[in-house]
Amino acid sequence: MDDSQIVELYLSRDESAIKYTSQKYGTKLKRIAQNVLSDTETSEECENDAYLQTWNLIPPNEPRTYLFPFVGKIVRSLAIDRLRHESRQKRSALYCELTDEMQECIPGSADASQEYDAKELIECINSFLDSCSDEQRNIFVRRYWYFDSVTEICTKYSLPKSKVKTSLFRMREKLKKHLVDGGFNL
Amino acid sequence: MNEHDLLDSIGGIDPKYINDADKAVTKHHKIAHLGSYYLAAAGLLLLVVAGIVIRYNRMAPAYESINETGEVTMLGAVPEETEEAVPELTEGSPMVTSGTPESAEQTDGLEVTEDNKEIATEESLETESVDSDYPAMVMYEGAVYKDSGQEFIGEIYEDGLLQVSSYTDDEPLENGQQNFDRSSETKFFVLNEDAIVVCIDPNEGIWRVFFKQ
Repeated sequence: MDDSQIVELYLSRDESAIKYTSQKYGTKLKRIAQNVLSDTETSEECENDAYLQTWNLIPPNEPRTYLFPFVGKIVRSLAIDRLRHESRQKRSALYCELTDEMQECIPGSADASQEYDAKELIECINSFLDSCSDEQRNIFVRRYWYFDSVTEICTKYSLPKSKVKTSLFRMREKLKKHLVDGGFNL
Repeated sequence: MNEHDLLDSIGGIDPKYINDADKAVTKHHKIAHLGSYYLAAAGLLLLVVAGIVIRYNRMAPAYESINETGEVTMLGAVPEETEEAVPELTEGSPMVTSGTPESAEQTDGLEVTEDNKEIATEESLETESVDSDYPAMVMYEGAVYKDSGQEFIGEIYEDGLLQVSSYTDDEPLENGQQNFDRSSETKFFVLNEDAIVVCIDPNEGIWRVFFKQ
């Protein structure tokens, strides 16, 4: 069943929509949560919560062509929120690694707070990704959206570890410069 | 804005980038495809090489000889330059055995008959003193003396030397006739009643014993 048909089931309030979503994307969604939480049971809870939120968000949303990114964004967000509510000791090594890496991209001092428009920041990141090559963009998305480890990215794209690490480092530098140019400068 | 905000914002990137990263063809697949191409190319190359080797092996026996000028001639093929020089073989020609004129093949100055007997041609005999299926023979006083292959080691007295008188392709039938020296300058002397000693190579000074048949 394609995404459009599944979305149609959501719109018609047919509960089988959740079953089909789970069948089609369940494994990938659970993996995103697992990457963040490093806990199978909590990951499954996040997955189920994501289906519930999806049920509540469609309608009014109609993600006919991007159902997986839509549900993936929800599960990703739920997993991160769940992790943030945990004590710092329980946070996964990968998540700590990711936040450390993201810190490199923050212009100015990290502890300073700044009011910013979330939509503008997303637009800025989108324009940054648009300026990257396909390979660079895929590596970046796999790392910071799917939360894949460097090893998993290497396996997926058959790239050497050094190349992936170098590519990520350069992209973080580039993103930082892009954010400064975009006015996100403290 | 902090690192958490940035990570959250990355969650809202354009869905097409998310789908692209998920659908991106891995290089494993590309390598796998290339691998199959390499295999196909290697197989093709092997076939070509095998073909060349087989063809070469088939042709190799056809190379009859390499002549003095380094020219390679094919078995059965007559070089263009010499094609016209090959005399037509007709019945009655002294070089053709009777009854088998058409079946005779000429190779290396020898005629090969149906019986696979090689008969020396005039051309070959002009250059080769002893090159025949017949053993070297000399007729002296009505008896045919045949080469024993045994070299004579002893003194040669010039006074008692005799000389052959004629040459024949076949067995000698006349006194003084022999079948190995077209110049008919060979010298010999009588050793005893049953043997003569013939100088078969005057340049090297080789004398051999010929026994009476």
